[in-house]
Amino acid sequence: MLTMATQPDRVKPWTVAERFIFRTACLFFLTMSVPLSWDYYSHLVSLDWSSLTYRDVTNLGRFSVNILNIQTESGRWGLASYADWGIVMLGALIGALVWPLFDKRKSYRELYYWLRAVVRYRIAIGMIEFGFVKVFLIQMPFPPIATLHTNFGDFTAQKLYWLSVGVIPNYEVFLGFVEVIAGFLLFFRKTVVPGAFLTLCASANIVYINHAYDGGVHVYSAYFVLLSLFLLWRDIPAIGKLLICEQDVIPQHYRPVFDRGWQRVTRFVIKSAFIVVFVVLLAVLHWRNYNSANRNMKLPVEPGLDGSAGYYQVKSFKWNDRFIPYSPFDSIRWHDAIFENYSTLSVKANRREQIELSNGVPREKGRYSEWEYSGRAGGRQFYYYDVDATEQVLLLQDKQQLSTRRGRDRLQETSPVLRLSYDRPNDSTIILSGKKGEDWIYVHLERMVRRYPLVEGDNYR
Amino acid sequence: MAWSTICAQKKGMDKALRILFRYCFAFFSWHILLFTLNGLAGMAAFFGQKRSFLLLFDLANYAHYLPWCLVLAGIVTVVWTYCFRGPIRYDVLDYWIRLAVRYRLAVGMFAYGFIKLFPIQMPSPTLSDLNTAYGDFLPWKIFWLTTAAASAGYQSALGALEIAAGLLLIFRITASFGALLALLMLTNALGVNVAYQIGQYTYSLFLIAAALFVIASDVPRLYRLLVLEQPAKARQSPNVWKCKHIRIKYSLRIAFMLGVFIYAYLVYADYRQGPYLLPHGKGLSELYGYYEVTEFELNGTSIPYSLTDHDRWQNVVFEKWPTMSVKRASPVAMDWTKEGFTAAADLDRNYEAAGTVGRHYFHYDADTLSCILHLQNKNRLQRDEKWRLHYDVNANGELTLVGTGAGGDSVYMKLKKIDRRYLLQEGRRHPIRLSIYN
Repeated sequence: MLTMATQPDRVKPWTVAERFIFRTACLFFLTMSVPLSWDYYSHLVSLDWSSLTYRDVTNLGRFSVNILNIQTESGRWGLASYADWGIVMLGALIGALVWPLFDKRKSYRELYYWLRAVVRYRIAIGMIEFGFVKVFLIQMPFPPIATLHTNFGDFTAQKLYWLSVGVIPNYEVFLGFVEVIAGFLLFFRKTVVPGAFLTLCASANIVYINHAYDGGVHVYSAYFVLLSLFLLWRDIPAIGKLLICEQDVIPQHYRPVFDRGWQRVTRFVIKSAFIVVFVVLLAVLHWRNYNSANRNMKLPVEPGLDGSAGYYQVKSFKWNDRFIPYSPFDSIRWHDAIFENYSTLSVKANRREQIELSNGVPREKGRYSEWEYSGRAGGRQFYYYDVDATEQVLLLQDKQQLSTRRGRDRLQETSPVLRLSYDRPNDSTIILSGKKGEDWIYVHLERMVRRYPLVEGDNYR
Repeated sequence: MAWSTICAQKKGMDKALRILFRYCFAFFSWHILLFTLNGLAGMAAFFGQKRSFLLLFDLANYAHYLPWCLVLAGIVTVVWTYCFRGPIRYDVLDYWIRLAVRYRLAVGMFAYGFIKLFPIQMPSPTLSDLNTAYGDFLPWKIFWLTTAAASAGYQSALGALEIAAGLLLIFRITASFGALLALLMLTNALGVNVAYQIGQYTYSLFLIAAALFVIASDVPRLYRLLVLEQPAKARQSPNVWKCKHIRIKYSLRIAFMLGVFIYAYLVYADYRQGPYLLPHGKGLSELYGYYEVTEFELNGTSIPYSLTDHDRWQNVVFEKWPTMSVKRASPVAMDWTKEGFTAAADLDRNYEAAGTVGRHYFHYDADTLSCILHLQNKNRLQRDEKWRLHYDVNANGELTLVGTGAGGDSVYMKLKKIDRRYLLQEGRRHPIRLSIYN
């Protein structure tokens, strides 16, 4: 048996170049891995631990250096969006030149260990937080009915990619678990290499996908590629020697020895705190949110008109006194109507509209959730509605209008409410009528039985 | 030798590992024997008839008999364990079988890598696809189209990674890196195959098994080095190549690479011609585009716009190749083909119509002298639906189609060509306003 030789007694001094590179890397990766914005800490201090939501913990794991916001196309989607890294690098280089004035150490092996520890924990919480968002099916929701009735070419590339994952919830959970496991492995010194490697592979793929589909989070995912490469860097020579040169290798890495009681306690407390908050607590919060009636997801959860969900053809449409026949070019007459499982009614008409281009985030109130109509064209108005069952009235609000008004920081303001009284002579028929602005509309809707190969898959046969 | 260093510590483990090794050895030997025989037989055909990459592709991925290999390997293992007593050079067996599996896996990676590098595995969404409702596709087709819709050479990059894995597998010292890369790609491929109901489960599992086998002997030493942080012993390969044989070794490797180059060239040639999955003929270029059917008369009776009438055509797409697709309310019989698309005659190239019920696909022969389109439904179950339509494009770009339909009905329709703007092509980088059409 070969003996353990991980802790040689004599510390070999590092070369001048090694020390300079390390000082640069140390400043660079420390700046990148530690939250530096004031908002982060004020959020941390003001947390209400008695009524936490998963978003509170998720936000603790999601931060990165944010200095410039270049408003050009390249600054948002291309090379210039990585400019912050260059700035941090420049600062690190300057710092590395100044550093030796205060510190004459010949070796940084202890500091190297601790730097790696900081980077490990940074990646771990980031990957776990992001993984859980997929595991609990928040990031990519299953397509609603209106999406199934939108043509393939009428989505943005980003939307198409996210939909394609959301269509198969099990696949999304699988992708999420890969990220969670990758992050979790980084909490432990012995599993750093597999954890960092898994992080590298998952994140590198995400970076490419974000560039290929204009996903918009390429810098944040490339950040994890960079950090995981840093973690793998140390072991590359040993792996090369063992497998490529086919020579025996004796690893000689420094690791601190905790022989005092307080050291062990501190280590244990810090490590457990991270694992308890970002794994156990976060999983519990997600689980509670996922199973709660008013869960915070990207799609609304408010119940819609009872038993109304489905795709409806417009049997007849009356505008003031006039029946308007269907034409695909008509901008007033509804071409079809869709009631979702929740309180959204969407109607198709040939109206030119501003396309919502954001990725869509979870909203506590369904009326503000933009995920249903973001990244899609094809002419469709989306209405949030409240049901007044005693008066048999739907109170509708145009969601796109609500969203643009909210954008102007007028959160409380409501957009004009459209009052349509409803009549349901049988299960598949809904008749809506009421005043829309100055005009009177009357719509006779009839539900069509529709099957979707995308939803049924091989059971469609 | 690798296997003995893994199991040097415990005797019991040693025995179990040896039985496992015998089984793997027998399994991969059977597979490679049958694979080689099938390959040689196929090669004769390859040199005999037209040289298409598809033939080589099918040979490279031929794996119908895998269950038999599993059974036969079991029998061999039992016989080997109970009937053979005698010294066996396991290190030499390990060397040869690992060599063979490396090359077998490399063949698989090259076969799929090049059809992605030159992106013909997943052709860009067609104009008909852009005008098909999202819910009308099967999951596999959505995956195919979404991957093809990526920009920045995503499909080619995936292919390049698979080819890189293949190249790394060819050399002993880099084989484990190649196998690891292959393992990552293949695991994701298996996940995708299962998730999107694409099929090919056994074949992806087999390639994963091959990658695991190649990497297996290096896992213990990497585990010691990286996880336990203890000294690790390097691989010691037996001296199987005598000096005078070195030339044979290099010649074989060069021959293999030559084969890979030929395959790559054939794939490239197909890529230049246009992807084999889509029809190769030329369509009528003046008709290419999207049309709304503004007037429709059946046997003299006008049918107004309708989303529910089975006879009425709603909109029409003419592709750049001789395919026309129609949106109408009558149901489409699902074409369940998911794999094994061949480069047949254009009527039988069913990739564009497979996995979707959104539109009716017709192949057409155009008689450009008398301006007549002979349409035939591409769907195997609706092949007898044939149309004969006279076409005429007037100065306003309006298309008139007059003729006889499926049941001998007379039809007359006016179509308005619309240059639709698609959000997929417009992108999300700049604010945009769109109606249904533009």
